[in-house]
Amino acid sequence: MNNEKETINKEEAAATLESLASFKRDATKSFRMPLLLIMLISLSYSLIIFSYGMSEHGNMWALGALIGGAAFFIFIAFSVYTFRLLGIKVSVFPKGKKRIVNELVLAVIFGVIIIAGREFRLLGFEFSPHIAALIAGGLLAYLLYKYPTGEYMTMEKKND
Amino acid sequence: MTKTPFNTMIHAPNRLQICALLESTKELEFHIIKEQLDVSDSVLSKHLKVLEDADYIRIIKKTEFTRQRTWLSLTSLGRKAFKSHLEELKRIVGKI
Repeated sequence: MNNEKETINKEEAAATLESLASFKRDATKSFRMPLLLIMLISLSYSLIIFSYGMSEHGNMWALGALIGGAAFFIFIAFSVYTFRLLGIKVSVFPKGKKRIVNELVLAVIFGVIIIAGREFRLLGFEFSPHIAALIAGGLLAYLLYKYPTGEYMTMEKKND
Repeated sequence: MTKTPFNTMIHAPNRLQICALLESTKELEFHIIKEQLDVSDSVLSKHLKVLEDADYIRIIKKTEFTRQRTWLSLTSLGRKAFKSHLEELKRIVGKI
């Protein structure tokens, strides 16, 4: 290992960064969970948001939220367990400042969607839980598909 | 901005890729990294040994369901070194 260069020029550094980004993009694709599982997780999450938005004292939608919550955690646990059997242990808690900030921003976005879905219905906009569930489910499916390892910052585009 | 040192230990293509893979997960099994890098067991073991000696990765052998599994993870020192090296590469390119 003593014959390794102590530094490199601009072109070599750019080529290294480019090849590393390309390698990571390909690797991330292979870490992607099956589409059916992504759909089931997103649908159960949508069910939680929709049921919460529709629930009142006199109806049964709170049960929908409970069923959705149970299904959501079962599917998540199943995916984590399957990944583990395949040889991949995913990070549940984010590491690094950027990751933590990203996760917090996402938590706020999902929080706003769930609250808005219910509050707008109480203000008289009947279809707000439907829209909130659709947006949240779609966003979750997109994130699970596009960023299976939860790294939102490292997937730089070719010309960044 | 302070200049971070160019890390020859990490810069070798395979070692850079190993660190990149481990950075995005908590732990990965030996065979997953081998498949991703498309290298032989001996080549991968050699690179892992270099990283382990530098205390950049942790190698844990466990028996799960009667099967021997080798789990690899980045240490906090390795995570820091990989991040610093990427920053140095970006600095050379002129991105930061």
